[in-house]
Parts: sequence; structure tokens; C-alpha cells
Amino acid sequence: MLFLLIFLIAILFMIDGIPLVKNKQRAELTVFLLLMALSCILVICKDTGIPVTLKSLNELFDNYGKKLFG
Amino acid sequence: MESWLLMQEKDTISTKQYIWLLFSIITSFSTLQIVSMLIAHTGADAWLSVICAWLTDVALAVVYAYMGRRFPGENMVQYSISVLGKFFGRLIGALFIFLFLISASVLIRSLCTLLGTAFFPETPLNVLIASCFILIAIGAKKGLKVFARISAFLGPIYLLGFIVLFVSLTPLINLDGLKPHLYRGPFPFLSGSPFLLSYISICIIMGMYIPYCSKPENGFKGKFISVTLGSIMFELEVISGICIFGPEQAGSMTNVGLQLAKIISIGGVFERLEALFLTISVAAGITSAMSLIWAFSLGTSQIAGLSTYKPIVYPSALLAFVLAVTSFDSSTDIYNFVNYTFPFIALFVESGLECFLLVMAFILKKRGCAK
Repeated sequence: MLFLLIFLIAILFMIDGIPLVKNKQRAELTVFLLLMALSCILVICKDTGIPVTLKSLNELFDNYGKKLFG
Repeated sequence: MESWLLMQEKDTISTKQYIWLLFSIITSFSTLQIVSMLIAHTGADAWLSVICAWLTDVALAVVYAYMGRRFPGENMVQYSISVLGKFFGRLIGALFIFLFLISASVLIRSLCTLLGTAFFPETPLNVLIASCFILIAIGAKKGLKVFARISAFLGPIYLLGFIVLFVSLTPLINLDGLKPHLYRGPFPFLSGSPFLLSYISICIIMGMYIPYCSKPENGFKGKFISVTLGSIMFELEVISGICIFGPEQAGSMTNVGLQLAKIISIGGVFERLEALFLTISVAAGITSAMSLIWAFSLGTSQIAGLSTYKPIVYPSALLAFVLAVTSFDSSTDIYNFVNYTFPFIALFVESGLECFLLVMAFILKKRGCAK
């Protein structure tokens, strides 16, 4: 999964990131990198077992949801 | 108005395109597991929940259309900032776009689970999800005009496809299956209504479209038409499911619409029309996810004060892809999320935040000034 992600990021960087570097669009490049870093963090968290996924929201709202919709 | 808050999308869409865009979003959810879940919640009274959800959604559309006219040329992220200031406005705007992101992830994950189960049992789920997100990223990067045109072309086909499916089912429908009404009291259908509303109301994305409509004053009219058409589709699917399979069996199915499509036989010649159902489901799902990723990218760029949203479309799609792949280990996880957690988050954002913004705009006497 991590390998696939790195591969995808490399492609994305070539397609969209390099023009941002060339044109010195710093703000755009920062957000671009932040979003990609967030994707990496999510994958690393998944691989290391840290519960930072949408599933972890289940633990927060599950009981309320079951009371209302269950 | 500050320069970084100005519109970044140059294209405009017609009212017709706007209607079909919203209709595609409702269609995409109506072809997934939502109908089965609704029937499981409410039993034979599910059809009443659809009517309640439709009425509530129309009321909510009034608020969104009003805000669109009060802040002309601004989408919900922009007018959050105009009403509440940079810090709190960005925070509220981030919640709106977070909803779009998780909706895209959950939609594609559910769609691919359905595809994997029905048609591609040997294909790894991640491959299906990745293929969908590649298409979505390309479409979203092309801009609003492109997927608005796609929706305007495919929307009538979805509608026609649904009409064909339901007309073919008519001989099998026995309306006595809907009786007895309110057998378990009013609570099941009243609680089913917000559940369904949370999915239909993804159409709050209208708040992102209105600034780009050629006639923004038609915001409410367009939403009313699309939600009415979408709710009729939901209603027909729910009634057919209950009357043909019974509420217990329909509620325990993974996808009622798919099972209905399987039993259709037109004169013994055309059978197994689930391919038509799946085609509608895939096309509507991908078009809707394009809209959602576009809205997420646009909103993120406005929160961050970027001059354009296009460079962050691909990383946004990547993030949605990662969320779709890593978030759920099994079908049970996604079932629990879609059934209990998502409606809670969605209702809070769709209804609560927008009404809060409306009240704050009145209290602080804020009004848009862009032409």
C-alpha cells in the first residue's frame, strides 16, 4: 500500500508539482505537499495500527447513531 | 471583498446542467445500500420517511438558496468567511469541505464494494477504487463545466433507465405489502427520515454551484426539481422493494435496487437488467464523486487563499482514495459507518452549520457585495 502510494505521489508530483516549482507558486505548492503528506500519514498510521481513519469516527458517534437510527 | 476570495472557477453552468448535477448526486446514493438500510430501520413505513426527508430537504434548500442570493457570487466556504471572519469562517468552511471529502470516499468505497460483489469478485477492491479515483481526478481537474455537461447528458439517461426498470416491475407490485401503516408507531419512520435526509442533502453542494450558475436566482427552483425527481426514484425503489420482497427480506438485502433489476423480465426476451442498474450506479457515482472532489479542492484553495484550485485536485483525489482504502477493514465497518456515523456528521454539517450561518448573518447584519 505504501509503495503504491509513493508511486502515485511521484506521478502526481511530476504532473502537477513540477510546474508549481518552476512558476514559484509557493502557496499552491505548500497546500499540494500538505495534502500529499496527509495521505502518507494516513497510510503510515494504518500500517502501524494507529487508529486515524474514518472508522475511528465510528467509536465517537456509533452509540448516538444507534440510539437515533438503530 | 478581498482578492483571494474572488471566484476561481471561470466557467458558468446553465440551470439545466445544475439540475442534472444535483440529480446525479441523489441517483448515486439511491443505487447503493441506502434503500436497504432505510427499510431495515423503518420497515413497511419507509415510504413515509422518503416523503418526510423530501419535505425537510426542500426546506433546507430554501436556506441555501437564500444564502446564495444574500451573498451573490460567493459559495458556502466564502460566505462562511464573510460572516464569521477569517478564523472561524475558515473553520466552518473546513467542516463543509470535510463532508465533501468523506462523502466522496464513502461513495466510491460503497460503489466498488457493490461492483466487486456483483461483477468483479476476483478483482482486488483497491484496484477498483484506484481506477475510479483516477477517472474522478481527471474529470474534477477539467473543471465544473465538463462534469456539468456529462451530467446533463447522462442525467436524462439515468431517469429513463429508472423509469424502464420500475415500469417493468409494475406487474409484480402489490400495494397491500405497505400495510399495516405505522404498525410500530411513528418513531421508525420519523427516525428514518433524518437518516435518508443526510444522504439526499449532500445536495448542499448546490451552495458551491450557485455562484457559477448563469441564473443564480434559479438556485431553489433547480434544487426543488432535482430533489423531487430524486425522491420519486427513491420512493419507487422503496415501494417496489417492500411490495415485492416484503420489508424483512428487503431490509436484509445488500442492495434492493440490484435485486429488483435481477427479477425483471420483459416479455421473456429482456432479462437480467442488473447491467443497466450497475451502469447507472457507476456513471452517477463517478460523476458525483467528481463534483465532490471539485468542491473539496475549490473550498481548500479558498480557505488557503490560493489563486487557483487546479493544482490541488490530484492530491485531493489521492487523499480521498487513501481514506476509502484505509478506513474500513470489512463490509461491516463501512456498514456501521454509513448506517450510524455518517448520518450524524452529515446532518450536523448540512443542517446545523448552514442554519447557524444564516442566524449569524442576520445577527451580524452581514451581506455579500460581489456582483
